[in-house]
Amino acid sequence: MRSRFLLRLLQRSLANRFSRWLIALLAVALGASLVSASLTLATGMRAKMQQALRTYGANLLVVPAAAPTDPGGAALFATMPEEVLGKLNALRRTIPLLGYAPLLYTVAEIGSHRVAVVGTWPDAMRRVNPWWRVEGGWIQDRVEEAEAIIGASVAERLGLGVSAPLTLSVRGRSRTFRVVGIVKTGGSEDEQVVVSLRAAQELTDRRGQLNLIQASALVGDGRVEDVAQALEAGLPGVAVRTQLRLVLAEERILGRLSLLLGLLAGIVLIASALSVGAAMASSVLERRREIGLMKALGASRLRVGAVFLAEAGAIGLAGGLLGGVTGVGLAQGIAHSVFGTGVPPTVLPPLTAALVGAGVAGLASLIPVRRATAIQPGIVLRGD
Amino acid sequence: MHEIIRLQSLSKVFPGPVVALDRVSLAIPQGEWMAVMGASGSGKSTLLNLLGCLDRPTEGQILMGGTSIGELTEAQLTGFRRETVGLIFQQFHLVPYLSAVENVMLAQYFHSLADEAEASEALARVGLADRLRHRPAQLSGGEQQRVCIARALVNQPKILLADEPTGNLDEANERVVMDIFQQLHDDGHTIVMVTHDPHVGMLADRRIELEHGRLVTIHTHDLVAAAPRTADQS
Ligand SMILES: Nc1ncnc2c1ncn2[C@@H]1O[C@H](COP(=O)(O)OP(=O)(O)OP(=O)(O)O)[C@@H](O)[C@H]1O
Ligand SMILES: [Mg+2]
Repeated sequence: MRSRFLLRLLQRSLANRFSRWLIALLAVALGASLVSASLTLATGMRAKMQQALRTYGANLLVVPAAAPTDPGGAALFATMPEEVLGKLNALRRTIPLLGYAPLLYTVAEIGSHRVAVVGTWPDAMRRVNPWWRVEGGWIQDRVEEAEAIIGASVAERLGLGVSAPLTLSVRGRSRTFRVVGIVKTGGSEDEQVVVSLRAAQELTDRRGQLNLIQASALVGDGRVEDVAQALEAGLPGVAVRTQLRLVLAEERILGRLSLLLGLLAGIVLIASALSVGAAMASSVLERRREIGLMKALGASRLRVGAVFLAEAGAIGLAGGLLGGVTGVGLAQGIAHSVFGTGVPPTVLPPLTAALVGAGVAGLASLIPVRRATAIQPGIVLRGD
Repeated sequence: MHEIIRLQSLSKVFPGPVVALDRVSLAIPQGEWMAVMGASGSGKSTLLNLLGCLDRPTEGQILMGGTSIGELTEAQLTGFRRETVGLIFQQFHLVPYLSAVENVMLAQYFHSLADEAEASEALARVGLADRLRHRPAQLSGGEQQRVCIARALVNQPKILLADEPTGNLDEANERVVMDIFQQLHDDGHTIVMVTHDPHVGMLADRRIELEHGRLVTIHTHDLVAAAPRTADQS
């Protein structure tokens, strides 16, 4: 009951001076958005990386040694001879490999659309990626050259369903496939077309060539590195990359990014604290009579302070919520541009940002509010 | 009659020094309606502020209902004010962004609990039942002063203190407000009212007059012709 009137009082008072609070509110929102973005990135990306590690942790990529370290770059199209597969098979006696799948990439045209095409051993691909959800069926076998599995996004974009015909063209060479399955993983697979390795080699006129081998090792987290080194030693002319190595590199970027965002958030929050403090100081100055009246009505210092701190808290909370939500969007943008992936939005970072906003606003108001509580009613209420 | 306020040689000196009140002694019985009169600057508001526990005397004592105000801490003084006095100001001092009823509820809020029905009832008693949702700027001066009276009354204070309650009002509104005071007086409220208007002063049971902070005369209603009693020792 008591707090209900306080809410009404806050609502009236804030509405009355809203334009004068707006700058402070936006300043808090700015600081809070950085807090929220930094937390969203740090927790979200880390969770994503950990999940990737857990899922692909034991996975290795065998690539031509000359290829630069970026697996997403054009250098993927560097190739190595198929004979590597034989050597790899021979190494299985000494290295605990669960399975491996050769991959050959290309970009093909479907009418006016361009899609990424992956040639592979369908059975091996399935074993290495057991979590793939495929609607329809898998490509029959390694020598099947007329079946394709397409990603869900490709299917949607081209309006293709299971058993639809699909003609792929690469530099004037065309082959027609039949869609046997549609894969949906939420990842890059959704944008790809999968065919057999043989078919991809034919389509691109690169018989006996492959771009990389995806292998999974049957070892614990720490031992992946040993396997990678053993493979590099046993297979001349190839480099082995592990998910762990990639994740560690991303971790480093993420760490620096969060630190930078955190520092920036700190600076902006200090600025917003100054802004809130100034707005509160001018509010107290303008409302001296009102404060005197409150005291004349019997309000204790504590009650007067509570009213003003509640106002500051409300402004801080509103700014914090606004910024908190904006920050989640900001984190998405940063994740996309830096890591090339989205980041799962969670509730905790914006909520934390809102509380930080309220806290900063409250702290920043302490000095002017103290001055408000010290106002002597007898002096300010005198008639002029 | 039982006495509710006793002033003993009360002085207030402001830095300057300005002696705003000079050794004023006075007793006010419960239920009395007293008018404080005197020229501008004679110390009327200073006296009322001391009675309202808004300020502390430099010397002397104020006893209200047996409590010696001078010995209270600031927090106790605030609490005492909350429980004991209702204040009515010449400048109304209504909160501009709150409606009439919310202004009354504000007094309830700082006293105990805001109760809209009770606050509306207090406004109805001063004839403002149809102005509950108006803001001060949408009310006439007389209506604003009535909101102020409702606010002062809503917590049922023992003593009503009014500083020039009709000072900003025209004659018609003055009459309305004085009728309310008359009613409050008939109901048994103790009222101390500052005024410079002799007509308004005549309505009170008793008038005291200040001159340069000194109590110079006390008139009672039925003793208008009696020789003024000098209250200071000179
Ligand atoms: N806070 C203060 N500081 C200094 N001087 C003050 C203060 N308050 C009042 N005074 C002085 O004390 C004297 C009495 O003032 P007070 O306000 O009590 O007069 P008043 O009788 O109410 O006058 P008016 O009829 O004009 O309202 C005046 O000379 C005034 O200037
Ligand atoms: Mg005065």
